[in-house]
Amino acid sequence: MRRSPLDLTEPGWVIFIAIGILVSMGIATIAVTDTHYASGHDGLRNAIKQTAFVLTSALFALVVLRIGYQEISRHAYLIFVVAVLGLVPLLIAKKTGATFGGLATPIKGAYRWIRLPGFQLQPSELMKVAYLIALAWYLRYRKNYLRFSGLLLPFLISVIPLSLILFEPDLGTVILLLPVLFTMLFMAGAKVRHLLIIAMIGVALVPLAWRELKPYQRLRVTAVLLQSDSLRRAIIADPAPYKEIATKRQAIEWSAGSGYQLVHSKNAIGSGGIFGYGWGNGIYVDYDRLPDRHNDLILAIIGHQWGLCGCLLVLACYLAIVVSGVRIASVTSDPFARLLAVGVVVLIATQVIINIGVTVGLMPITGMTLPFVSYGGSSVMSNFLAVALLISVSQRRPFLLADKPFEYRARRELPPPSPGPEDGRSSVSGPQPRSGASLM
Amino acid sequence: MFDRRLKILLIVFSLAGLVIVGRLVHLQVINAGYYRKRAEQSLRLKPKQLPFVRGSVVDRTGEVLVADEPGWDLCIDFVALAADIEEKGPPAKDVKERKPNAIDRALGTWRKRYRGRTANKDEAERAFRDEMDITWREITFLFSTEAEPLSTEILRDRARVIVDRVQRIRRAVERRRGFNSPVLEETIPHAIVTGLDPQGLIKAHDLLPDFPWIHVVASSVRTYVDYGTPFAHVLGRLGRVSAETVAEDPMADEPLAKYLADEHVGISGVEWAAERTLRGRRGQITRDRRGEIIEDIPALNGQDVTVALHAALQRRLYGLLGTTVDQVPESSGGAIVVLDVASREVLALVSYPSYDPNRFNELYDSLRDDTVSLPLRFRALANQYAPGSTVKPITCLVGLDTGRIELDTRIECTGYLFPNDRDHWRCWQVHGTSMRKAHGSIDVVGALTGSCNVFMYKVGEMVGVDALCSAFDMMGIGKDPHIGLDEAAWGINPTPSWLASRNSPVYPAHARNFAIGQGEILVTPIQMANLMATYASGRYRWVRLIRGGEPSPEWNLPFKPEHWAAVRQGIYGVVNDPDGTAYKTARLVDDHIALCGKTGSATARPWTTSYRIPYLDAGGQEQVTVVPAGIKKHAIDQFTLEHPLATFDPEDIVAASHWPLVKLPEGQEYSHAWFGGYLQRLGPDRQPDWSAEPRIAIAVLVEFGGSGGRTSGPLAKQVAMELIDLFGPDLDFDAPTRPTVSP
Repeated sequence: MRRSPLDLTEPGWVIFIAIGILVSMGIATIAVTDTHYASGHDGLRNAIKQTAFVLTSALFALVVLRIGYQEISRHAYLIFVVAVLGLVPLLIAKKTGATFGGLATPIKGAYRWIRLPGFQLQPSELMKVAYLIALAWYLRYRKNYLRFSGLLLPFLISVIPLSLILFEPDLGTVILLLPVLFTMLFMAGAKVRHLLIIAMIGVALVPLAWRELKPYQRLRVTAVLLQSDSLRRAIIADPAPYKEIATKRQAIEWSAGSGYQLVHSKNAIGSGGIFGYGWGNGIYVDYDRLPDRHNDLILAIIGHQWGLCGCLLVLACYLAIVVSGVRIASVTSDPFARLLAVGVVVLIATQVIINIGVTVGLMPITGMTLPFVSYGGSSVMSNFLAVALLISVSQRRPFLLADKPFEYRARRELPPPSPGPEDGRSSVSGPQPRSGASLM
Repeated sequence: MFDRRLKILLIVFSLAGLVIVGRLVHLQVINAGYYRKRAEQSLRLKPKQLPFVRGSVVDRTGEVLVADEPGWDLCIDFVALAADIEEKGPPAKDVKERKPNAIDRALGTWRKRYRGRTANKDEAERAFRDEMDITWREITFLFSTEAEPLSTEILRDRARVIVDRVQRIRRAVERRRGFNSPVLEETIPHAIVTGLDPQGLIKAHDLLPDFPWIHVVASSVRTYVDYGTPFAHVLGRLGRVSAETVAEDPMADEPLAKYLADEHVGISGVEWAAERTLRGRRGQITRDRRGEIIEDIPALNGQDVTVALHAALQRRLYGLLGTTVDQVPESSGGAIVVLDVASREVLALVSYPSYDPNRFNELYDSLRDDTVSLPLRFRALANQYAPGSTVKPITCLVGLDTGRIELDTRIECTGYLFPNDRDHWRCWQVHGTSMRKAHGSIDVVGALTGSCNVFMYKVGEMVGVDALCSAFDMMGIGKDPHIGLDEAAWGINPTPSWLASRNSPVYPAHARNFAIGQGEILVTPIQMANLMATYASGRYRWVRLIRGGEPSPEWNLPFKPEHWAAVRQGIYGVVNDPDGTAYKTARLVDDHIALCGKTGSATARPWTTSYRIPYLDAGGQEQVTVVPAGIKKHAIDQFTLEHPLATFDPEDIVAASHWPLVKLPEGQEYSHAWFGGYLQRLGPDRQPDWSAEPRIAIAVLVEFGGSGGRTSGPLAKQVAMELIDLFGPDLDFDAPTRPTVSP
């Protein structure tokens, strides 16, 4: 009935190889961004930790493959509730100041992490995956989202985790989950007209939200605008008309203040040129001038070391993942699986676009990691789990040509996988013969 | 539908990917060179500025009068200074409302030293304050000298001054930039003890390991030539640059040239006047994190400035003046100016009393409090006195030029202008009770020789105030002497318009008064010397102290040569004719040189040296105190400083004591003693060789010296003898060595 969890299927293997390349580049970069004299972390130690994260996450991913997405889907709401509950201690910690024995102490004023021995768990990262599963599960067969009022419930469900995450605050994760929600509604068949109305309402609320943002958050947005030399000069000459954007002082101190990270990130990536300085070489590798260079801004160091070639390789890997994910979604006929696959693709692609957009100065800083590359246990874990779900979908394409069956049939009475095209609309061939390839 | 939407999704992602690839190409291919340069620059460490050496001031013979000597400053970080003097305020209720104060900054700066030791902030603060106390005590112990005593209080006062100045700079910069932000001065150490010698340097290095906020910074000490007292006023002083100067510095945008808060800047004398030349430009060395030198701009030392002074002459004349002033009991000081007639270069600019510029800081309190001899006054430039009889040659020239008198016009002097009023408009010969014979019938030459007042009264009445004042103006009275020093006063030329500005009509009496150099007319000693040079040459020219630049402009005066000749004959007669007012006291016994000149006894008002202030003390009791001060305003300032609670009426404050102390007999008046003249070359017949223009003009002033002839005449003669002794009979002051006088 079931495939071995180690049988990844063809798109699965493509994804596996792409992730392998990304993880290797990430660990190689983390290993050389050694900053023993500054922020107190050591490159090699971090590389080893990251390797451990990756191996652990791979193990969890195997477990997910072993269980299968269908089994998991039955507990979609339970997983969602557990993930939401994981956020609650942080809420309590922020509200009351209780630290739960040091477990929930804030870092830079944000209550995002639960401090466990050895690493810091970021519940909002795991929330991403739980949210994905729950949303896919909710949307799988419903027709009511074809009506505008039916769209409200998914949004309302989203409000709970999003507001909790926003409260931490972790604006980046919220910004990530909103496109996921939209795309999944879009893919589930919601009317474009309805989505556009909601999007327009959102856009109309932007000026209101802009007022509500904290000064440092606004500064992150304006820092991107202030990249323009002419704008800065204009503000310095006469700050009055640009009151909403930045003060004269912010314009003068941009490169040392709000724009510092951006300036150095662009310097690092731009100075790499086409071929880069080479692994472990270069000014931004040798000197810790760029904050979070092993983490959110790791692409800047990759571009610094390996130049445009390195960056394009990274992009190519993500392209491979996205295309494979789209193929998987396209091939499978289980509505839940389709939505899940699309959700995973959107989750990863959006992270990549936002992260790289930040690094190259097209978007404000949001604190988004580069999936599989950036240092960080929770991020690696959530992305591995998400991809495991995707591969799991590819492993268990329901062999259904008929109309949409009852739900229990889709889950319980899976016919064995068989060669041959199972979906007329797909050009992708069926599962490959067993090759005996294994992870071990 | 699903697949169509999948395609749309894929297209959206691809578009985003294309944008990113485009941006990457833009960054990494098109602008790669720019970012590579910027990346290199990001490694730069903060540039370090290197001090420059301020230029020296040298005299015309090349003797260095003041120069920078190497020295070191003991500096303390601003953060520590600000925290140390900060009062411990009440704790703010809300943590968010509390502004980060100086003590927090200090504890943050030396986090490991304090926060590492204890988590308790109060305890950390106490530890820091204790260590600052020890710092002050150690500095007092190591660097306190008799000349410059130190104590914790003195050092804290210095710290307060520094912090106050930095805060003023910050406010000024805030006004200029439009927002409040830290200034450079808040991040650097500031000098607490300046001018350490090598021994002091060793002592200072003892302190360094114990206190992280102490630094030793290479600097320099402005050192004056040995026995610099005669030069103190003219060279001037350096002082800390004021906050206003920093804020309004035209070079504020040039980091290497702009003034820093700690810097010393010329604030008086030549140091002020030649600041631009003397001041150099700091150097800058920039290294990057790899230790490589990226930029090395060497410091540009200041240029030397040559002054026209002759140092040896200045010293000798200072000695002579001092002796004379000390011999006159009522005199409070004096001045001597020696000019080169041709170029109007100042050969000597002596003001007595003076002070040792090398010990200025130590002496400052006593110098400031000396309200009798006012040693800080630059008398030769800044003090104005009525010129007295020294302007009589101008009266004669105007009279001759306007045709009101001729060379052979004779006027009868009976001792009085008005026969029926013997108390006013007298001739000087008939003074008080002592009756000497009047001048009788005299011409221009005789009137000048005998310094006849009655003759001048009459000529003055004839020509009028207008003509007199325009002649004064031509000779530089009431005008900028253009010496370039900030101290120089302009004197007063009481023209009719000037009188009108004082709401005074023009009376004939004004003309009479001005004709003998009394009344509202005032000149400074430098103007007097220039006037004498003008008499000697017939040309008016600006004086010149600092060499370099354009030669000063020159004006030929519109008087006829025969009139000049008569006037010069009269001036010659003053000293060399038996009827002359200075014949007995100033005549030079020399085969080659004759001293010519005009004496002057300018009416002087005694000056107040202290004020009596009646006041009600805090308890309402009536009290009286006497405050030594030269000016009423200063007396009030000092009094309110010492008695903040007292109430008083400024109207009740009266002068308590005057200078001079000596009371003169009834009818006599105090006068400043002038002698202005020049050294005239004699022909073989020992008569003046009028074809040779005099080379040197002099002006001598003794405050409250009494009669110009009696007090300043002998001094002028001594000056002339020194000049001849120093420069030889040819008065060649630019000869490399002193010419030997053949027997």
